Amino acid sequence: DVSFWVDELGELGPGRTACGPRVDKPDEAIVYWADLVHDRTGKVPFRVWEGILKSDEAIVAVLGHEMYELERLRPLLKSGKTTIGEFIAMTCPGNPGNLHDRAWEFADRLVEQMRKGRQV
Amino acid sequence: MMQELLGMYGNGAITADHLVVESLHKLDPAAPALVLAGLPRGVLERMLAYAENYRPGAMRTNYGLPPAPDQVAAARQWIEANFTTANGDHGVLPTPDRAERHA
Repeated sequence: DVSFWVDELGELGPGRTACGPRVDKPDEAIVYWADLVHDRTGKVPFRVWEGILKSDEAIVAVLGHEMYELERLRPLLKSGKTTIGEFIAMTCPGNPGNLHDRAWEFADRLVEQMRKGRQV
Repeated sequence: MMQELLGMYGNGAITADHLVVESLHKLDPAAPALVLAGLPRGVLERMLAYAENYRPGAMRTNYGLPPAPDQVAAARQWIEANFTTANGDHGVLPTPDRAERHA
């Protein structure tokens, strides 16, 4: 229930390699799982920077990062108890130890495993 | 640019709510039809719901900046003025928020 697209808006680059759905809410409003899901495809769309496609490791890292975040967000958002402020705090860069941070640690482990797999 | 955004929405690359906000960012309050006239009905319904829940200075987003209050107000006025069925009834289907207010 996820789809990936190459960014056509030119919003992404080396500093921001992927993004999920945009969510806008009044302060303290609840973010629901349905807020991330496309109403026609039934999938959560992610856009990725075209540059990652040049590297297998970048592809694994970026997709792994996004999937890690999404799968941990899923039960939280389906609970109907996560405010927009909490959602942003969990997923924004520059917030040490948050879900976004842990997702990059997961991505690093994926790449390490990938490299070990290449060693003969 | 609007055609590109509409295409991305139609393909599934961005959600309807993302299209709503991007459209509002491009809206000239003096000429809202330039942006709004080409949007699908379902997107206009979501835009109206966004406008009704919009709180100037109190919007949060995981993206950039929210649309400006005059853009949101102009969109709301245009949709409410132009969104009617042939028999004159308001053509917007009730969303849960709107349904609660009518109950």
